[in-house]
Amino acid sequence: MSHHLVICRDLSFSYPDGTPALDRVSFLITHGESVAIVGANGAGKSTLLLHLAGVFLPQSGSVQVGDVKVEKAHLNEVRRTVGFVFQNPDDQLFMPTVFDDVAFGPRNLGTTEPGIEARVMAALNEVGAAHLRNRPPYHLSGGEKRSVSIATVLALNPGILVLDEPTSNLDPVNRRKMIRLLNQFTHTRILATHDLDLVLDVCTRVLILNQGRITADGEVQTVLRNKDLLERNGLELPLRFQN
Amino acid sequence: MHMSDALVSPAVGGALWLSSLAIARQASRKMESRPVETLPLMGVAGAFVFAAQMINISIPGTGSSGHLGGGLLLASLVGPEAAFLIMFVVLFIQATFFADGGLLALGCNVINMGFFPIYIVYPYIRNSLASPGRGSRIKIIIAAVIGIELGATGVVIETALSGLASLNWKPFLAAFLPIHLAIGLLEGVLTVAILSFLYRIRPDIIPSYTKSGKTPSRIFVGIIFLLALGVAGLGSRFASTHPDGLEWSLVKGQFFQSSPSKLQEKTAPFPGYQTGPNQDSTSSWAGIIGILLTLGVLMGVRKVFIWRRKNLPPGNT
Amino acid sequence: MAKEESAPRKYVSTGLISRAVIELRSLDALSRQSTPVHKLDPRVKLILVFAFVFIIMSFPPYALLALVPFFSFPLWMSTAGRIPPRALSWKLLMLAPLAILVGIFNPLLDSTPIQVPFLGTISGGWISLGSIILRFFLSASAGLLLVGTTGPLRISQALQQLKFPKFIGVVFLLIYRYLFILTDEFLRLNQARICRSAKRKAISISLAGSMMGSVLIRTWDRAERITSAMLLRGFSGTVPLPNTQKWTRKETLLLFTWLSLFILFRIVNIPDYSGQVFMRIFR
Repeated sequence: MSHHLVICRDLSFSYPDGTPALDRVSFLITHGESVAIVGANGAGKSTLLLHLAGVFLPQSGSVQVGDVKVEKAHLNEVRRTVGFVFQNPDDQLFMPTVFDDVAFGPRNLGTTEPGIEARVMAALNEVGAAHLRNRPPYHLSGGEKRSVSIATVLALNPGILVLDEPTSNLDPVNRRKMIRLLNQFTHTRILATHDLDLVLDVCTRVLILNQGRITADGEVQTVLRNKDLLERNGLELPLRFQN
Repeated sequence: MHMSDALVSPAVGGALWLSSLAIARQASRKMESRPVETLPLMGVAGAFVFAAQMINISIPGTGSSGHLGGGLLLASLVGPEAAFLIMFVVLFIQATFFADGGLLALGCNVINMGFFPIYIVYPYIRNSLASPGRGSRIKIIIAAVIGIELGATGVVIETALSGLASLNWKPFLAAFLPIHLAIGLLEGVLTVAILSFLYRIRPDIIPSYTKSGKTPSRIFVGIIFLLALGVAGLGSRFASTHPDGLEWSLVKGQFFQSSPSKLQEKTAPFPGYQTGPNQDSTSSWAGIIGILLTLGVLMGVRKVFIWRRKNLPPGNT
Repeated sequence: MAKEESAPRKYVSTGLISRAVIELRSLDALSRQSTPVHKLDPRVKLILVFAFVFIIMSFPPYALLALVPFFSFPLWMSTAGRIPPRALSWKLLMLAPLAILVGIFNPLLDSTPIQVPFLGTISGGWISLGSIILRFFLSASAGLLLVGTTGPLRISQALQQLKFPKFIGVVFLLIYRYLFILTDEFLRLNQARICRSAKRKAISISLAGSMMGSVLIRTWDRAERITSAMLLRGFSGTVPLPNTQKWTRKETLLLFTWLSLFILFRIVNIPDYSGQVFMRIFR
C-alpha cells in the first residue's frame, strides 16, 4: 500500500430520482499529489468525493483506491486508506469532548487505551488543537471545529485525505491557517472547493466538473488563468488574477 | 404532561419502570435486525422532537398554548420500536438534565407519552400513512387525541395509585380530560401538518419505514402493561394497609413526634425512654431542637467536604 | 466560541428556552471537572441516585422532618463534586411551581387535623404539600447532580454496563449531541419568524407544521451525512468507550456507606430522635 493511487474509470452515477450526477468520469491521481476538484454548484463535486470514500458505490465504471477496488467487500480497507473530512464539522463531530471524538475511530478499530492517548494527541498536535482536548465540540469556533474534524480523520492514519469545502464559512485568518495546515500534509490530498485562491496556494492540479463531466484536467497555473474555460464552466478567475 | 417524582410512589414508579424497560428491551432486540444506519437517524430524530417540544404553539379558541408530544410522529417516521427507544431516551434526558419529570417517574412518563401513542394508537393509523387523503388525516387526528387522552388517564391513574397527592380523582379526571382534548387535537393537527409537508416536499422520508414491518406483538406488550398495573395496584394497596409508624402517629394528631420503631426502642439511649401519645410541649421543642441539630450536622459535614477539597491537589479541568 | 455561545441570549421571546439550553451547557461544562466524585465509576452514582429517589419516595405522605437528613447526599455530591449551588438553583426554581401545582389542592382536600407547635391545628394537606416540595427538591437536585458530576459519555457508558437495552446508550449520546444544534436551529427560525410577524409569542399550527417540517427535512439529510461520517470512522452499532474506569474497593465502600445511611434515615426519624435525646440530657 505504499502507492496511494486513486483511479476512476468511466464512473457514472445518478440519484434514485433519476437525476444524473456523474457522467463517465475518469482520472488517475498519484501518490502525494494535491488535486482540486472545482465546479459550479450541483456540478457533482460532493458526489464524486463520496465515491472515493466508498459512501456511494459506482453504478457503472469503477473506482480504485490504493490496490483495492471500491466495492462492498473492500469497504473496510478503503475507509482505512481514505480520510474523509465533511463540509460541515457538526456532521462529523458528535462525541461529548474533542478527545473522545478523535478517539472514536481508533477505538472502533480496536486500539487499546494507552495507544489511543498517543494517537489522539499526535493527531491533535498535527492540526494545532491539542489544547482543545477536553472541550465539547459546540464550544469551539468554526476554525477550531474544522481543525478538530481533520484530526478525527488523521487519527486513523489515512494515506489519502479527501476534503469537502475545507475553507467554507471560515474568516480570513482561519482560512489562512487552514491553507498552512493543508500545505503541511504529505498525504495525497483531494479537495472540492469554490475557493480558487485556495487552490492556487495548496494544489498542483485541477479538475473542473461541469454537470457531472470532467471538462478540464491540468496544472493549476494554466487552468486557473484560462478565463474562457473558467467562465464556460460557471466559474471566474481567482481574485489575484483579476484586474 | 410530565409526571414529577414527587407524585409517584415506589410501587407505581418501580412497576412502570420495569415494564417500560421490558418493552424497550424487546424493541431493542427487534432493532438489531435493522441496519446500523438507523442509529444516527434515531439520534437526530430524538433531538428534533426534543427541540420541537420547546416551541409553544397557540391552541385556537382557547387562548392557551401547548407543544408537540411527538410519539405518533416518531412512530410514523421511524417505526414503533425505534420510536419507543427514542422516547425513552428523550424522557431520560429531560428527567436528569432538565429535572423535568424525574427518575422515579420516568417509567410512568415513558408509558404515558411513549407507550400509548406508539404501541396502542399507531398500529391503528399505520395503513393510513401511505395515502395522504382527507380520510386518513382525520384518522390520524383522532388517533392522536386518543393517544393523548390515554396518556392523561394514565397520569391520573398513576397519581391516584401512588396516593401522594390527595386528589379527589373523579372530579380531577373530569377536569383533566377536556384539557387534554385540546392538547390532543393540537398534537393531531400538528402531526398531520408535518406529515403533509413531508408528502409535498420529500415523500421519500415517510413510506420506507411504514410500509414494511408487521404490527408489534401487541399481546406481549399488553401483558407487560397489565402486569405493571397489577403490581402497582397491589403495591399501593399493601402500602396503605400497612402504614408505617410515622403515618400511624400522624393520623392520631401528632406531628413532630413519631412512635418509635422497634429499632429505635432497642437503641434508645435511656431505659424506659418512650414517646407517649400525649402531646406536650417537650415533644414540640424536641422537634425543633432536632431539626436544628440535623441542620447543624449537615452544615458541619459540608464544611468538612469543602476543607478536604481545598486540601486536595486541584484537578485538571 | 464565545460569540456562538452567547448567541441564544439575544432571542427575546424564547428567553426561557435559550436559558434552559444555556443552563444545560453550564452543567455540561461542570461535568468535565476532575474531582473525587467525577472520578467515581459512573455506575455507583447511577445506582445511588436511583436508590436515593426510591427511598425518598417510599416515605408516607406526611413525612417532613424525616426527609431533612437526606439532604446530606446532594450536599455531598455538590461540595465534593464542586458543583456550585447556583448551577442548580435556577432550574430547580423554574420547575418547583410544577411540583407545587400538583400538591396545591392537598390543603383543601385533606383536612386531617394535625397539631403543629406554635401554629395550632392545621390541615394535614399543608404537611403533605410541604412534603411534596421537599421531595421535589431532593430528587431533582440528585438528578441534576448526577449529570453535573458524570457527563453524557460516562452516563452512556454506565447505561451500557448496567445492561440497559442495547441501543439506549448510543441513542442517548447522539440525542444529547444534536440537541444543541437542533435547538439552535429552531431558535434561529423562530427569530426569523418574529422579525417578520407581529409579536405574538405562540405560533399558529399551520406555520408550526411547515416550520417543523422543514427542520425535519434538514434533520433527515443531516442524519445521512452523520451516518456516513460515522461509518467512515468504523462505526458498527456501538460507541466504543474508554475502559479506564475501574470498580475499586473505594466504589464498593462508598456504595455501602450511602446505602446504609439511606436505610438508617428511612428507619429512624433523625431530627425527631436527636431532639428527644437532647431534651433528655438537658432537662
